[in-house]
Parts: sequence; C-alpha cells; structure tokens
Amino acid sequence: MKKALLAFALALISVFTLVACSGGNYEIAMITDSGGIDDKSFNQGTWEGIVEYATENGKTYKYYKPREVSDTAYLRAIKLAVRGGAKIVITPGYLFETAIYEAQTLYPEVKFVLIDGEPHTADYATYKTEANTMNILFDEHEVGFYAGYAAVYGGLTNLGFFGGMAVPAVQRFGIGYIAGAYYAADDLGVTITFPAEHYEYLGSFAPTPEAKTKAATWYSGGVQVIFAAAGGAGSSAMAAAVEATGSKYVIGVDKDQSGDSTSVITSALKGVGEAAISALEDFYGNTWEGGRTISLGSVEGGVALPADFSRFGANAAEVKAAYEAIFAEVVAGNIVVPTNDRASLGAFLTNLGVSNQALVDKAEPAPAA
Amino acid sequence: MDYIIEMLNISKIFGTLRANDDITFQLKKGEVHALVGENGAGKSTLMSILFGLYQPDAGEIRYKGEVVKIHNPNDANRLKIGMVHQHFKLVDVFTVTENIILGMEETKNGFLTLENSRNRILELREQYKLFVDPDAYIKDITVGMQQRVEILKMLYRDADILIFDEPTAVLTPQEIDELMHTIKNFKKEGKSIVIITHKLAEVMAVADRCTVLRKGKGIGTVEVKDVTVDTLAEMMVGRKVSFEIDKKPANIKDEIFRAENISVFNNEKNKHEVHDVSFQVKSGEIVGIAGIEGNGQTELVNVITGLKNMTSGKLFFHQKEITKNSIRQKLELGIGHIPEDRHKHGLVLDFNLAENLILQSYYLPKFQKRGFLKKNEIYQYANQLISRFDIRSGAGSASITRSMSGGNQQKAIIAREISRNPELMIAVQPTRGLDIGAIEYIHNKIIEERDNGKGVLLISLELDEILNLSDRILVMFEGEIVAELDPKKTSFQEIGLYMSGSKKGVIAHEV
Amino acid sequence: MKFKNFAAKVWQSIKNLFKPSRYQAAVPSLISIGFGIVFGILTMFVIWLLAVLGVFKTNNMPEFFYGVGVLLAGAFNEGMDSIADMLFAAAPLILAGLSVGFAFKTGLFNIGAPGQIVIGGLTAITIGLKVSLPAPWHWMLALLCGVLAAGIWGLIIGALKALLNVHEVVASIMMNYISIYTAFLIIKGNGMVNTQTSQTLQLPASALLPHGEVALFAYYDMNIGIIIAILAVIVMYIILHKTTLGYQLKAVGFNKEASKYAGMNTKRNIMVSMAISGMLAGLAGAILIMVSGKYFQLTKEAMMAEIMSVGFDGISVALLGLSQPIGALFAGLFLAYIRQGGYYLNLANYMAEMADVITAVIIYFSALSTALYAIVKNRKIKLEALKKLRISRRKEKTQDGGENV
Ligand SMILES: Nc1ncnc2c1ncn2[C@@H]1O[C@H](COP(=O)(O)OP(=O)(O)OP(=O)(O)O)[C@@H](O)[C@H]1O
Ligand SMILES: [Mg+2]
Repeated sequence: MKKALLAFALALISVFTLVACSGGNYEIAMITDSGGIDDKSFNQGTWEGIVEYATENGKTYKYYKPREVSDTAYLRAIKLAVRGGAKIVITPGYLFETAIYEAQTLYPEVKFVLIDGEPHTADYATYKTEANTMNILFDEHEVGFYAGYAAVYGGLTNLGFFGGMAVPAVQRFGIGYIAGAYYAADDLGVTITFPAEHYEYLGSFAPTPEAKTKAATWYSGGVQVIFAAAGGAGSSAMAAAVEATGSKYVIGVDKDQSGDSTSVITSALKGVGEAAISALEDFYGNTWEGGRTISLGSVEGGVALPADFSRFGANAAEVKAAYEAIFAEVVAGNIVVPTNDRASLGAFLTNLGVSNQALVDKAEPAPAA
Repeated sequence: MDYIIEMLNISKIFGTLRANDDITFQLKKGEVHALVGENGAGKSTLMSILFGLYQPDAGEIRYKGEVVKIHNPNDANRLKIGMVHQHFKLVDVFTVTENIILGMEETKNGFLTLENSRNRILELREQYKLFVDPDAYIKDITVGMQQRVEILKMLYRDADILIFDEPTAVLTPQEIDELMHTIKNFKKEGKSIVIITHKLAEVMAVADRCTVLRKGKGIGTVEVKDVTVDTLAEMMVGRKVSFEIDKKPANIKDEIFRAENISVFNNEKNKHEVHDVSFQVKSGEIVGIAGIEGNGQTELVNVITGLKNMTSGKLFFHQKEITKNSIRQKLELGIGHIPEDRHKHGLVLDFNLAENLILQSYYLPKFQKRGFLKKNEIYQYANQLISRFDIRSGAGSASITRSMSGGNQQKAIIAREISRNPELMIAVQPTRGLDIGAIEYIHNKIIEERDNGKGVLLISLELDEILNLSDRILVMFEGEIVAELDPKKTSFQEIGLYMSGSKKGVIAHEV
Repeated sequence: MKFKNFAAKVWQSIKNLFKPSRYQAAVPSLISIGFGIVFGILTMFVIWLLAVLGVFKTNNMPEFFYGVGVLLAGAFNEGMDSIADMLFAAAPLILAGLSVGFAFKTGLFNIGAPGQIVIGGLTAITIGLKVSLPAPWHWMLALLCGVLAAGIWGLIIGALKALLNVHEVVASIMMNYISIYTAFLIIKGNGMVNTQTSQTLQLPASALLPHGEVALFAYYDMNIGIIIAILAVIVMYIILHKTTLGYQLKAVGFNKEASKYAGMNTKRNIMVSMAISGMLAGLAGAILIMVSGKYFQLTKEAMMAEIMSVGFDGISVALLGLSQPIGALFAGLFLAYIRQGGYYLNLANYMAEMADVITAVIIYFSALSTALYAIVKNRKIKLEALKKLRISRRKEKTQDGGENV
C-alpha cells in the first residue's frame, strides 16, 4: 500500500516535471499593483493600452500579480515576468519605483516602462534611470485645471474635491482643479463656493460607505459637483450623486468614466493607455530611447477632457468651445497651471485676486514636523 | 428458546485493555434482566455494543435467533432497541418535544410540524404515567424529568428492548420508586428490559434474571428468585462484602468549621436558595445533611467552598474567619471537596488521570520546580493512588479521564481529595455510581478520616448513607435547616417527614 | 551507566516520535489538505475547459497541466529562491497560527490577532524610525517592544473578558478597528509617513531583521524570521506541555468550572493567556514589517489586505494545526508552500487566488473534520441547536458511552 502510494507520487511528479516545461513566452508584461487589472482606473487603463497595441500588432502579452505589496514582492514579480519571456515590462504607479531601480540593473536586456514614477533607492538618496528604463509622468494639474474650468463654465459654482491619498499625482489634480475653477470664475465674473472643508483626501482609493456618506452630506449642503480623483472611491461619490435630489455631478478621473454613472459630467483623462502604447511603439519600432523621464501634458496629448460635452446640457457647445480655447492657451504657454505645491497655487490665486488660504493649505498639507 | 437478543462470546479491546472478554449475554423476551458488576467491569461497554456505539472485536449478536450486525444506533432503532444513557443526551435549549423527535422530525413543505408528534408524546405520557411538560425546555426541568424524557424518546421510537444504564444513580428515592414502577409496567406490556445498576436492592425488586460481570468477564447469569443480595455481591466482587458499617463511637473534640447565618438570595427566582443556615463541624464527627434534591444543599456547599458568593453570613475555620478567603486559600487551609457533579467540577475530562490527580496541588514544590512540572514525580504519585484506591482504567495513569468508566472517575476524585489529607472533608454524594465494593471502601475511608480527628460534612440524597455514616444529621428544606437529629434515635420516616416539609419549623435538639 | 540510560531515553523518545498514534491527530488535517488540493485542481480543470470551449473569454489561454505542475511544485519552482521565499512568508503565518492556537488551547478565541499584529508592527516601526541605536540592539529593541505592546493589546481583551465579562470575540473585533486607526494616528502624527507614496518611511538598516549571508539566508527577503518562529514554536510547546503555567491555562481552557474548583485563578489565567497570545501575534507583526521594502500602507483596505490578513490566516493555520504548536509550524509552512505554488500560477495564466480557493476548501474541511474527529473522540460538541437537529443521527452515535456517571 505504502509502496504503491510512493510509486504513484513519483509518477505524478515525473509527469508534472515533464509538462512543467511549458510556461509560454510573453513579450509584453505588466505587473499590477494592489488594484488588479479591473480597478476601473490606473491599472485598467494601462492594461487596455497594452491589449490594444498587442492585439493590433500580434504581440504576446500578459500581466502578473505580485505576492503582496512590498518592494521585494514587486521585484520578484518582475523576475517572474522575465521568466515568462518578458522583453518589456510595464509597471503602473509610483509604488514600483524602488523595484524598478533594482530591476533595471538586474535585467539589462529587458526594457522597463515606469508610469507615474522615477526609479530610486528606498531611502530616496539615489535616483537613477538606466538606458533600459523609461519613466512617464503626467501633468495632472493641467487636466485638473480643465476640469475645474469646465465645471464652473458649465454653471456649477459650488465645488468639492475627493482625493484618494495626498500623494503628488493626486495633489496635482486637486491644485489644478482649484486653479481652473477660480480662473473660470474670474473669466465669467461669477463667484464660486469652494470652502476648505469640501476638499478632502480620503486616505483610500476604495469605495467605502464613509466616502458615500460624506459625498451625500456635501451634496445636500449645496455642493453641485465633486471631482473624485480617488480611483474606486469615485464610485461612492457617483452613487451619492445619483441618490441626491437636484442635479448633482461628479468629475471622473484617469479614464472616461461617463459609462460608470449618469452623474459623471466629464472626466480628467490621463492617457496611461496611450502612454503604454507609445512606449511599445518605440520599443518595437526600434526607436526606444530610455534613460529618461518624459512628462506627458497637454502639448503631448497626455491629458485632456473627453470630446463629449453633452452632459453639460444646454451649455454643451459653449463649454466645449471654452475648453478648447483654454486648452490652446495652456499649450501655447500663456497660462502656467500651478503644479503640486501650495506656493504656486497661492500665487496663482493671488494673481486672480482671490484669497482662500484655508483651501490652499488643505490642497497641499504642510508636512508634519 | 425465546431469546430476543443473544450476545455471544463478545470481546471488546481498548488498547491493551479487554473491556469485554468473551462475554455471553442472553435476553429473554419480556424479562427484566439486571446487569451488575464492579466499576469498569465492562457493563456500559457491552450495552454500547448492543446499541451500535461500539463494534465488537469478536463475537456475534443475534436478534430472534438471526445473526445481525448493528453498525450504529440507527440499526439498533430498527431492531427496536432503545437505550437511556447514564449521562443524558439531551439538547438543553430544545423543548421536551423537540428533543424526543430529534432525528425523526416530521416535516411538511420543509417546515417542521410538531403537532402530530406532540399528540403522540401526550398519548405515551398518559399510557406510561411519565409526567413531563412537552413544551418545557430541558434546561428548566429536573434530572428526574430529564430521565423521563429519555424514556419517552425510546418509546417514541417504538423500542421493545429497553436498556437503562445506571438509571437510579441520579434519582431521588421517590423517583427511584416511580422508575421501578414504570419498569414493571413495561414488562407487563411485553417489553424486554436490561437494567445496569450497582444497587442490589433494585435488582432484587425488579429483575427476573441477573448477569454478573467481573473485570471484563462474564461470571454467570442467575435467576434472581434463587439468590440473595449477599451471593450476588460475592459474585460481583469475588469476596464476601459486609453491608454493615462498623463504626466506633465518635470521639468528638474541638470545632473545626462553623457557618454562621449563611444566606444566598437568587435574584432571578426572587427567593432565598439558602436561608440563615448555621451549623458547626467538630473534629472527629461526621455531619450528614439530608434533604430532597434542590433544597439548597448544592448552594450551601458551593458557598462554603467558594464556588458561589453568599448574600450574607460568615464562615470560620478553626475559629478564624475565612468568609473572604479565595478557593485556593481554603484548599490550603485544609478543606477537601468531593463535588456533586464530577464532570462539571471534579475532573478535567481531557486531561489524563495523572494530571487530574494533581489538580489542586500542581504548583506545590512536590510537583514543580521553577515552573516546570516534575513529570516523574507526578506519575509516581498517580501510580500510588491508583493502586491504593484501585482505580481501574485502560492505560493507567496516562488514561484520558473521559474514557474511564464512571465509577472509576469517581474513585479518582475521592483518591485525590482523601490523599490531600484535609481537616474538613465536604463529601457530596461521594458514592454516586460506585459499585458495592468501592462503596464499602469509601465509607470505611470516610470513617477513618473521622477517627483520625478530621471533620466530615456529608451531603447525600440517599438516606441509608446518611443514617449509616453520620454522627449527627441536619435536614434541609427550602434552603433552611429544619431539624437536627441523632441518627441512633431517629428513623427513616421521621427524616422523611422533615425532608418533605411536613414537620417544618420544629428544630429538635435531640443530640 | 548514566550515559547508557541517557542514550536509551533518547532512543525511546525518537521511537515515540515515530509511533503512528502520535500522528493520528493529524489525519483529519491531511485528509482536508487532500480534499482541498483535489478541489483546486478540479476548479482549474473546469476553468480550463470553459476557456477551451470559449465560454470564458481570456487574453491568454490557461495551461492546465503546467498549472497543476507549478501549483503542486509550490516552493520548489525556482529552487533555493522559492524555498527561501516560502520560509520567509511562513514565519509570520506560523507565529499568527501559534497565537490563535494557543488561545484556542486555553479556551479563548483570539480573533484579535490581526489587531495585535498591527500593533506589533506599528511599535516596531516607531522604534525603528524614532530611536537610533546600532544594529543588533536596534532591531532587537524594535522586536521586543512590538511583542510587549501587542501583549498589552491582548491583555486588554483578556481583562475585558475576565473582569467585565465582555466576550473576547466582540472585544477583539473592536480592538482590531481601534488598532488600525491607532496606527494611522501615530504614524501620521509623528511624521513617519512618506508623502510621496502615503506609506510608512523606510526603516533604517539597523532596524531590519538581519539577513545572514549563508545558505538560504542569502536569498532575497529571507531573514532570521523563520528561526524566530521555530524558536517560538519550541517555547510554546514547552510552556504548554512542561510547565505549571501551561497546565493551568489548559485546565481553564478545557474546563473552567473544574479549574475554579481546584483553586486556580481563572480570571488571571484568561488575562495571561490573552497577553501571551497577543505577544505571539505582535511578534508576527514585527517580523512582517521589519523587512526592507515592506511598509504600512495608510488605507484601511491595504491594512486589511496586507497586514491584518496574516492574523486571519493565523486562524486557518491554528485550525489546520489542531491548535498545537508543532501543528502551527507545519500548517504555516504548508500554507506558505501552497501560496507559493499559487503565485507561480501566474505563469500558467491562472489567477494566483487559486491558492486561496484551495486553502479555503481545506479550512472548511478541517473545520468539519475536527468536528468529526471530536465526535470520534467522544468530545462534547457544542454545535448550535440547528446543526444538531440536522446531524442528529450522527450525534446520537457520537456522544456515546465511556462517560457514564
Ligand atoms: N472509549 C474508551 N477508550 C478506552 N478505554 C475505555 C473506553 N471506554 C471504556 N473504556 C475502559 O473499559 C473499561 C470498562 O468500562 P465500562 O464503562 O464498560 O465500565 P462499567 O462496567 O460501565 O463501569 P462503571 O460501573 O464504573 O460505569 C474501563 O476500564 C474503561 O476505562
Ligand atoms: Mg458504566
């Protein structure tokens, strides 16, 4: 009996070791961060870009999920991708910065695309981007600016903001949004309501009842639109907007979220998918030029609002025209949108003759002592 | 032959222990058959085999002459075999009806329909005069009633062969009478009955035949009308047993323990469980507390030992107040306690025998050094007690107590308490479930304690035991001590009157 | 002569180790593991079948045989690398299992292990970032403080139960939430946040668990965590089986009334037990976090998914390991092994969560089989009333003789 079991086990093992020689060969690899490829936001956008490019060009592609959230687990996932045949590894998000820092020297023959971050050591002492790595950043503040501008121009004068966490990319969205809203108010000569208590970093990218309750309270307190730069937490705001009385809106983020809810009036697009595609085009077109960080803004077509303004109702055409005009101004360099520091936002508002210091402080909280 | 059940050459081995060794047991249709034997003789094991709880290692079972295999209690039910276990198997939070129908519920559209079952139970109740409220919850009814529920459960399943495993050990004398009556009724109906008991008087009263087991072997089956209690006892133990307790006159000295005005008020029931009880126990005497179950004896003992808080009153030990002492302090002062409920208080059933024998003394230097248990000493000590008190079990000191026979579990507790050598021994039902040999031994031990100048407080539901052992008898009724009697000058009848409250309020200082 | 005795004793204990009866207890766990794996493989097969038939649309076709191969190969997929990974991942699991199992053994359900892990980790981070000390002292202090803080955290639950009669499960769940927000409060309030990533800051090298340079320990994350875990297993084994403390705690766990009767201080024992259980969980938390590149993420969801989940896994480990210290060791290793296999399923185009499916099934089965096992062992089963109704037939068979009064 025991012997038979042993023999059976041995047979099994040998069969498996035989078939275990498979494992495929996937040239394009993406490592997901904690969200997974269906997070309706960052991971998903990147993945959709990869799928689009790969199916059009007949490339093999695949994503890998790390064991846990830690630098080493990310590094190990990259290793797994390389084992799976990866020639180019795309990683969405700043959480990969440290892992890529190591991976780029560990696997010099593999190309790395780091979206939203730049490789550095865990203690931030050394930044280094090797020739096989390309970093892609976005000018979120610009699209935030458009979102705020369009909202006020469309007649929404009582505003709110949900940020996922107070990390630089999200702060840029928020600061641009404030700047855009006040800029439009100045243009139109209207006053807007945007108190500091309607600007919030939720501390989470996940939809929660708390976030929904908060949105509902804001809406019933008069807020007309919330820009939800908060990943999945945006859906909490959308749910609250749909349930609220009167017309309440949400501005989506990262990808066009109009399909997620009728309350999404417009979305602050961040071309992560496009960025992935252009990196892949470079790679396969032999025009790869690594060792650098590119910043995708309005000029490069990295950020924009979607072309469809129909949810602005009667104002749609007007808002669209205004958006296009202001977009051109930013591209031309006539308007410099403040980035993620309170100083430039403060200066921008002062220029417009607005003072809302509480909001400025909330947008970029002073680092704790 | 008209045997309904024949168990032929049955053997059952647990580890190295032959619990049943080539036993043959035959049950005639319509008879009451007693099964007797010392603790650990294998009675429960044999009947558990018949009920399908254990599979025999050798031997066969015949039902009406045909060989049958009984794999589980369902098979037994099919053969109309029912069993009342010593330890009832009832679900506390269910009603009587729910418990009885458990496992054979009637349903309609997936919902339980109790109506038919309830009527059936009411019929059975009338037919056999087994009075219980079908809608009461098990947790609210007395042990005697619980037993009736177990019996109804068998009847509900149409059992014709009824097995009772030590049914009388937990009953009050009145309840025992009723049970005997019921059993006779069953017999009249043509049912066949097996009754396991240690009380030979019961054997004589109801049984037609009697099978005796000793140390796993069948000693023989006899017609009850042909034998006397003494012959049965001799068959069981293998020697003559004296039922007379020879007791030297008491040599009573100083007071050891005194309770002053103890009261326990139960807020839930809004009544006194113990009311203004005072008494003392002196060196060299056995004080017996008689009473019908549920008249405050349990609470009184729990208050003295510290398991329960009292509402008011004081306790003294050698004239020092110990009202506020912790349980451990009381144990260390020298109070021993043989608890009423051996499974609830007396033993940690998942510990082995050796571990249970040091339950109160594990921390003493004898068994422990710098926090580490001295395994060798512990097992040596256990082996000593095992041989001194004749505790029988499958694996000696390493036996898990849960697997030991009920009587041997009791012996283990008594061994532990006596060997702690306490000044005051509080013994509650000390011989519950013990065989006659063991009872004799324990009674002698208790008297020995007394003769060594210790005090003993004996609480028992059995008047025989109280009358035979005590030097002084207190009777409790509804939480109060209603009489103090001299065993030499009182009678069964008189105590009975006090116990039932008929002679309440008259404290007869006859000592 | 003395040596001969000693040798005989050693030989006897070695022989005892191989007595089949000693492992009987593990049989139900092994059976459940078997069931779980078979179920997992079946699920993989069904997924594969559906994908082949085109019911599922997938970007990449799952590879069934290869998948089963990598799953079962577990920690042996990439030689020493993956073995080291498994040991690394197993250490906190073992400790968490030890924590929950120890509480179980003493009659308490420490569902508060997740919170104690957070507190252990939080304290380790705080000491790591706020105290500067040279290498061995720094990490040792961080570890020690983590253990103590979580011990106090556990003690609170124990005290609530012992003194105020609050059920430990209720208290534990509340303390779990409190622990998350306490962690956020302390981390944010003391400038331990990396504002770039909203995680805690990188601990200095002196506050990380040492790596070592030899053998397995030179690989990746691998550190002395597994050694600490094994030591903890040994210590807990000794406490439970060789000491008066363990004797008391077990007695209270098995039968509170009898322990009270025997003069044991049941209240103190409950508190001590919860404190020890908390300390073990705290050790798990500290070990988990004192690793380069591992941080607290400051969202509730991430804390649940990345840190507290280890505590919940501890419940599985304890269950599978029958609440025994040695059991926790093997169960923890097993869980890490199968997770490792699940991780490599990435390569075969299956979701890594397949491993979780398997563990879930295993836990269900072992929960069931411990119940069955208890039945076989004539244990008193405390199934709720309804369950009793359903399995009444089996029940009748179970609560059989041997325990007649
Ligand atoms: N499940 C078991 N495992 C191991 N040993 C057992 C088991 N059940 C019973 N035994 C042993 O078998 C012997 C016979 O036990 P049994 O319960 O049949 O005795 P009994 O005659 O009913 O005694 P008592 O009058 O004390 O109830 C005892 O020594 C007991 O320890
Ligand atoms: Mg018995």
